[in-house]
Amino acid sequence: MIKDKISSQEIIDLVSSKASVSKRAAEEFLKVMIASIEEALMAGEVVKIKNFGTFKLQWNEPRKSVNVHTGEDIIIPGYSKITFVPDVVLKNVVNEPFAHLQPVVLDGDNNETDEVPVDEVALDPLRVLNEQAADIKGLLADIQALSPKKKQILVEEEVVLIDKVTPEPKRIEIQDYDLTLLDAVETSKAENHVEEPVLKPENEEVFVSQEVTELKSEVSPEIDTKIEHVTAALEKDDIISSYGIPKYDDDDEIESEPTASEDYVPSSFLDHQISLKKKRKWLIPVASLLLLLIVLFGLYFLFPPVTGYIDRSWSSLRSASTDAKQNFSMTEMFNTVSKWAEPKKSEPEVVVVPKPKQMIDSIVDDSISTMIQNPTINPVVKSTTQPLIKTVPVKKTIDSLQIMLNGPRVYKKFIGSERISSGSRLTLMAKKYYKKSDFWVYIYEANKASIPNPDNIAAGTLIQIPKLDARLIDASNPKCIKKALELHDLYVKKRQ
Amino acid sequence: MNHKELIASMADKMNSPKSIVADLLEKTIETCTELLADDKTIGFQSFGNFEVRKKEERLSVHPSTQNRTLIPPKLVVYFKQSNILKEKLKDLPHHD
Repeated sequence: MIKDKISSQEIIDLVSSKASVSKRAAEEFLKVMIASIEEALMAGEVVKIKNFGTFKLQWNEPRKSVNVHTGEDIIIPGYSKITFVPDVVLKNVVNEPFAHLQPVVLDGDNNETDEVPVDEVALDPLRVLNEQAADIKGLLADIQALSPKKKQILVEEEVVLIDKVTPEPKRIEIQDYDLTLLDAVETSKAENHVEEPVLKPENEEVFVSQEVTELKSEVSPEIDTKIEHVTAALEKDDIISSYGIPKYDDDDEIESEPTASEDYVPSSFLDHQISLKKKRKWLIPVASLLLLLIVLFGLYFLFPPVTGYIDRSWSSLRSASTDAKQNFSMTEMFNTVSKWAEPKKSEPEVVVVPKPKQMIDSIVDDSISTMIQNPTINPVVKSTTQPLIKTVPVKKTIDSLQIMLNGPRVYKKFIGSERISSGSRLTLMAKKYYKKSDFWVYIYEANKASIPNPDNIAAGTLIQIPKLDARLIDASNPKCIKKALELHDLYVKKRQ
Repeated sequence: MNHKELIASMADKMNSPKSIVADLLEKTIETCTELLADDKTIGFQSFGNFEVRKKEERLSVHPSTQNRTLIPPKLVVYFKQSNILKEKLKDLPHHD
């Protein structure tokens, strides 16, 4: 320690001048004082000096240790030690420079409560779409259960398309909504109901039309026309049995809509549909081949004449000793083949189920972004929806984070402040307050007004540390890090 | 042994009135406090050193609520006994 050490002699000098007594008297006094304290301590007493502190004798138990040089275990014998606990007065006087600092609770319970209601409102349309998607999926599952034909898969994707179409017109057609149109809708609806019984023999079609009417009840009336067209297209499609997007172009009424059909169907979606179809085509011969193999093996094992014939032909090819071996290997092969043949056969169903889900997810994302861009449409959407408790929690957190990352950040609350001295760095502050130095950009953003250059901040500048949402500065989330690095690049490059 | 008892014992040893001893003790404590507040180390021969040490800031976690709290840095007085005193204490029989 480079600290000035005050010796006993200096204390004596100071005390003598202060109490205006001779140095000898002061020296004697000090000696006696120490002797008395020692004496009392030796007697096992606790010595308490007012405004100074308490001396105590503490017994330290013997303990085991290891000699660092030899590695031997040694026992440190027990010993007594004098401990000093400063009095409150002394403590406060000494701690004067840091007296203003208070303990800071970093993560209380009420941190995230004020942000949640905002998210709830923003995610309301999403929840409704999720609900609709869930309903559609349920109905499709019923359709599939009725007849496991390939055609159902096509219908299923058609319905997903309907869902895709529905949220878009809401935005576009609100202004030019016409009452006469409503009348037209009513009449066409009536026609549709008349047509329904005619289609009854076809199970799937009935389901789809029911599905569509359900959708009607949920969405605003101007969309009904849209659904009518799609229903018509569906019916047509059943007869044509060829699946493809171009049929929307054939439909004159849809083309007459303010927005073209291409807007509703992204090209990536089209590509996906085509590739899916191709995959299915490729699967058919494979599946039939596997089925043939299984039948052959079944014949070999279950039908005695065939078994006998094959065995005889085998024995003619190979010697009798290897015959049994071969037989065994054949059974083994059968087992393995049948094992991996089973999942292959059921693959068409397995593949189809997740795809529409993915589509719906993309729809949901799209609609969210449109909701954010056009907050005016929110009331319309809300009026058609019913508050539903069923949600997807995982999706919610991801989306709200995404919104938080994309949206502008507003700094209102501050958890602390720091004054810049030489050696201070925003990154160090970020490390201290947010546990990761990459998040310094948020401190900079909050203090942009007082920091002209983040690399060289003038000493004495007061930096406010903003309170950030815990999700935004989640060091374990790569999204947060990525965002912070993006901002870092933005601010550092702007300087250069 | 409290403050009064200490003064009494010292007055007895010095053959001087308690009031003078009390005054001297008060002045001594005052001086020591001032010096320590000045971030100085006080060494009493054959007794020990009083010094000021800085305790760094730390993060404490509440065991049951898991709330993390930032404890600010602080300055504390630390007493280290001298080796002479330590040797003396070694002779002390400990009771237990």
